[in-house]
Parts: sequence; structure tokens; C-alpha cells
Amino acid sequence: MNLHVMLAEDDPDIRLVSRLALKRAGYRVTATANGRELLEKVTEERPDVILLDYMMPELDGAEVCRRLKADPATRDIPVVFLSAKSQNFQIDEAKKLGAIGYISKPYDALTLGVQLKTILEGQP
Amino acid sequence: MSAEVRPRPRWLAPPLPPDERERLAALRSYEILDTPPEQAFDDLTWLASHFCGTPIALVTLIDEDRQWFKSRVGFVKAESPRSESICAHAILKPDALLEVPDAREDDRFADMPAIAGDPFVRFYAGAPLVDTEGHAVGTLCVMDRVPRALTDDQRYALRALAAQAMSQFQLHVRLRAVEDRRAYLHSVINALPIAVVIRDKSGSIALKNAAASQFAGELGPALENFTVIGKRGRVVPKERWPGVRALTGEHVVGEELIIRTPDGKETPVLGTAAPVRDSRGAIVASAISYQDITPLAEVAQLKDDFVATVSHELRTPLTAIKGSMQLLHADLTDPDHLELVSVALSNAERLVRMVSDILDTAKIEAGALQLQRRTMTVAALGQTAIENVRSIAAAARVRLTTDVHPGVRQVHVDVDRMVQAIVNLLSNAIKFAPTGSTVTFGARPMADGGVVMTVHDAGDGIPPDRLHRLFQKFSQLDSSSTNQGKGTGLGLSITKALVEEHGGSIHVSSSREDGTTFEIRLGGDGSAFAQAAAQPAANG
Repeated sequence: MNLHVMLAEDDPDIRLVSRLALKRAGYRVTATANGRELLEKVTEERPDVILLDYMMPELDGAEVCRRLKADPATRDIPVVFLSAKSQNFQIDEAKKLGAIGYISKPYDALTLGVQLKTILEGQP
Repeated sequence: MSAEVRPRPRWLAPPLPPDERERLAALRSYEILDTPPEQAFDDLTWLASHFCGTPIALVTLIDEDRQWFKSRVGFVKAESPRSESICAHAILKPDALLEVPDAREDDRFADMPAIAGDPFVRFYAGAPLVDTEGHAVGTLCVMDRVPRALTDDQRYALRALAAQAMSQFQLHVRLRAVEDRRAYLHSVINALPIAVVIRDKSGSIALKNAAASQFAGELGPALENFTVIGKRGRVVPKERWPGVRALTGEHVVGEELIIRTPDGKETPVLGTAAPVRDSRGAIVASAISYQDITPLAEVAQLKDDFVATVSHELRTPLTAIKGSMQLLHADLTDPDHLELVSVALSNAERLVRMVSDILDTAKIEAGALQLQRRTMTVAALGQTAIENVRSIAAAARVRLTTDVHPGVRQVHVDVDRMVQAIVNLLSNAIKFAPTGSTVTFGARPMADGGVVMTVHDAGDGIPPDRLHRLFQKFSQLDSSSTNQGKGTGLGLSITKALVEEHGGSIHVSSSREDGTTFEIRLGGDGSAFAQAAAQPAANG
């Protein structure tokens, strides 16, 4: 069965490209426009993995991740950040927030699915 | 004697000396008229009166129309008209002592008020006070109520004391000039907008200007209670403070420091210090200036924020364009459509490269590049870089190989940035490599414990006259045999900056026969190496 990815990305164009890129790579994708929408739908959707844009208005990726990890119902869903390199975002920071990894933006649409798979396979 | 005939008064009003104008100017320049009594002059008149055995002694200054007494012994009046002055006669011959044995018998003076009346002076001797220009400004004089004469010793003494009085005036002038100079310098120092502090030889603060006081006032009571923080947040011990170092002869120029007060407030400053030497060249103090660079730090922060924002704002639409093109490209079958999308895609990629090169350059120039070092093997660094350029190498039909010496240590670098540097060199090499040739990433240990990473291509080499400009911004080589789209002209300048930020250096050697080799040397000083990095085998 296809892995179910839930995505929070505020830019609609990037959201579309990411959704199609992941769909093409064989994932089932639920795309949301912001952290709040993702948090509202996550318990119902029960995704296999969450892709979180780190820089979002209102609720940023870090805060969304914190809330996911604080809730017993969503704590075990793996989180991967999407983050621009210029933000000096490091793996340690992602780990500290409870994420399993991050993918640098701008990412390659053709390899996004592979990158996500590599991170998931690296998990124990 | 007839009652109608009144005798002509025996009194000669003193004529003006030929240098009267200059003489008065000299007198005024001392600014001593109408000043309070001073011990130095009172000592001189006391000595004169004592040595000459006269009840009266005066230091007299001849003003335009009066004589004024700077010091007096046995005399009540503070001044009297010049016309009634014997001293005004004495100054007519600056070189001579005027001695009047009995004024009542001298037609020039007999009826002057002080002679005909109280205090009934009979004897007068006055030594002119002569400045270095030869102008007589007054006298040191002695008087008695009985006629008499001075001995030669007394005459000598009176002239010697007069010379001393003159020295006192000149000392006054010099002291005032020094005081004026001091006040002038003080007001200049105070007018400076930056904090200036003078530390004496013992290291304690001898002087601080208004800006320094204000700075100290804002920050806390005493400069000595500050904590000085240097690069990378390290506390600078007091013996390394700029002003203390300057006492050992060091010139400290524009060092960026943070001053933290006991209450925890931090101010970024630019510290400068230089030794202050006396006329023999010995260090007697240090002059320190601190410029509050809070506004500059704010601007730097603004620039950082700007770079980060622009980076995000430019990259987001580019990512959307590139991603859409990539997905479209993968599904197209019509050759014309494929070609058009390829053009759009390669141009989008070029824009992405340009944006990121320009932003990197802006960051480097703002000094905002922050390295996040971690430990990695050189082989892994090379491999990561090679993966990055594999597709462009394949498109250019250039082979990629690695040649990493087993003795090469792990390096402690910002992996993303070092990979970026190597990728820049690799893609550059691929661009100039002939079709079917090989581009090699190599690494070997250096004698000093460092490591040198190399990127070699078998191209035609770089003309010698272009080598020196290679690392300058927007210096692009003509790549007629280009295997790839045009670059941004920033790649090599960024690469150089990235390597230097790591404490390393970049070198290039090139010839028509051997192609081109770029070298990244990470020094043996350990800066680019982890503490726990494996040592190369010493006796292998």
C-alpha cells in the first residue's frame, strides 16, 4: 500500500509541485496550506509521515512539530522538515524538535520522493 | 625773593621710551596687571629690602598712565600716576640701574608727591625688568627715607633679583600657554564623538573624555568593572584589553569587541589603542578609543535579515517554476515540447544558481557567513560533491574519478559549504574538460599535518595572463568548448571565500599540456580538524 504523506506548505505553487512530485513518486498525499489546517486534520488522516515547511506564517514548523510531539495521538508520526539552507537549519535542530530529518529547499521535484524514502529508511 | 614769583616745581614728568608701544604690548601679554599678590614676587621684594637695608621695596609695572605694584614692602598705595613715578624714569635706560642718592636734591624728583609728602622718600634705586626683546616693563626698586647709596654687592643683588622677577613673568606666560594648550586639547578630546580613554603606565585610567564618561555612565560606574568579550564570545582577560596591550607597544586597530557591564548590558564597540610616548620614546601611557557600533551591528543584522528574506522570496517562485518544469519534462513525449521545456528548465536552473551565488556573495561581503562545522572524512566530502555533479558530467560525457590518499585525516568543516566549494571546482572542471576525458577529485596529506584536496581536468589550461584574475568576481573565462550553460562569474570568488573562511587557501596551476589543477589546502594548524580526528600513521 502506498505511504500516506501529509504536507503543510503555505505557498500554493510549491504545495502543488510538491503534491504532484510526491504523487508521482508513489505516495498518497494530503496537502494542507498551513500548520493549523494540518493539526486540525492530522488525527482524522493518520498519515504515515508528515512533511512540514519550517518557515510558515502564524504557526511555524517548529511549533507545529512541538504540538504534534506533545499529543499522544500524533506523537509517533514521523516528521520531516522542509527548510531553506539560508536559515542555517541543521539536523541537530530538527532532531531536537523530535523530527527524523530535513530536506533542504529548494529541493529537486524529481528526487523529493527518493529523499523522503531515504530518510524514512534510515529510521530504526 | 619776591612774593609774586613762585618757584618752578622741581619735578620732571617722565618722557616715554622710544619702544613704548612694544613695551606696553609686552607688559599686557603677561596678563599680570591687577592680579592678586603672589608669594614668589613677595619673596623677591622681601629679599631686596632686606639685602639693601631699605624699609621700602617694590615690583613696579609701568602701565600706559600709571605704575602698578605687583609686590610691595613698606608701601601703602597699590598704584600711582605714571607722571609721579621715578620708576618710569628708570625704564628709560633698560640696561642701567637708576640710583638717586637724595631725591630732594634732584630736580627731576624733588617735588614729586611721594618725596615732598608721605612717605617722604629720599633714596631710590631701581633695576629695570627687561624682557628678552629688550623692553623694560617695570622695575624692582628699593627706597629709603634717608639719603644714602648702595654698595656694589647690593647693586648686583638688586639687578639679580630683578632678573628673577622677569623670569617669573615669563614663567607665567609659559605656564599659561601650557594651560591653554591643555585646555585646547581637552576640549578637542571632549568634542570627539567617540570614547577616548588614557591609561597611564600602571594601567589605571588617567583621563577620559566626555563621550567615555557618558559611555561609562550609561554602562556602569567604573570602566574596570566591565567584561570585555572578543570573537566567538570569549571573555578577553584584562591583560589582553587593547589599552593594556598598547602599554607594551602594540598598536591595536579596530578590534570588534563587546563590552558587558555588571548589570548584563552588552554594547558592541570598535576598540583602537596606541602607545603614548614621551620625548625620549619611552611608553608613558596608552590612548584608547571605543566607538559604539550598535547602529552598525543593527545594519548588519538588517542586511542578514534582508539576505534571508530575499533568499526565501526569490527561491520560492524559482522552486515552483523548476519543479513544474521537471515534472512536465518527465511526462512529455513530443520532441518540440521536450526541447522547449528543456530550455525553460535549464534557464530556471541557471537563475537558481545565480540567485544563490549572489546571495552567497552578499553574505560573504556582509561577513555573515557562519560555519557549522562537523567532522567528516575527506572521501565522503568528495563523494557528496561528485554525486552533485554526476548529471552534468554525464551530459558533458566527462568521467569522474576520485584519488584519495589513505593517510588523509578527517576534517572539521561546514560540510554543506565545503561540498559547495568542491562542487564549484568540479563543475568548473567539467565545463572545460574535453569530451571523453576524466575529471579527478583527489586528496593527500600535507607535511604540516594539513590536507590538500585537488580537482584536476585535462582541458587546454588557463592562459597565464588570466590566472591572477580567476578568483575575482565576474571574471569568466571564454568557454567556447563549453559543455554547460554560462556560469554566474561568482563561483570561484565564492569558493575562495568559503575556503578562506575555513582558514584554508586555494591555489591553481595550469598548463596546456597537463590541464588545470585547483588545490584547496586546509592548514596544519588544526583549525580545520576535529580534536578527535585520526592521526596519520607516523611510522607506516
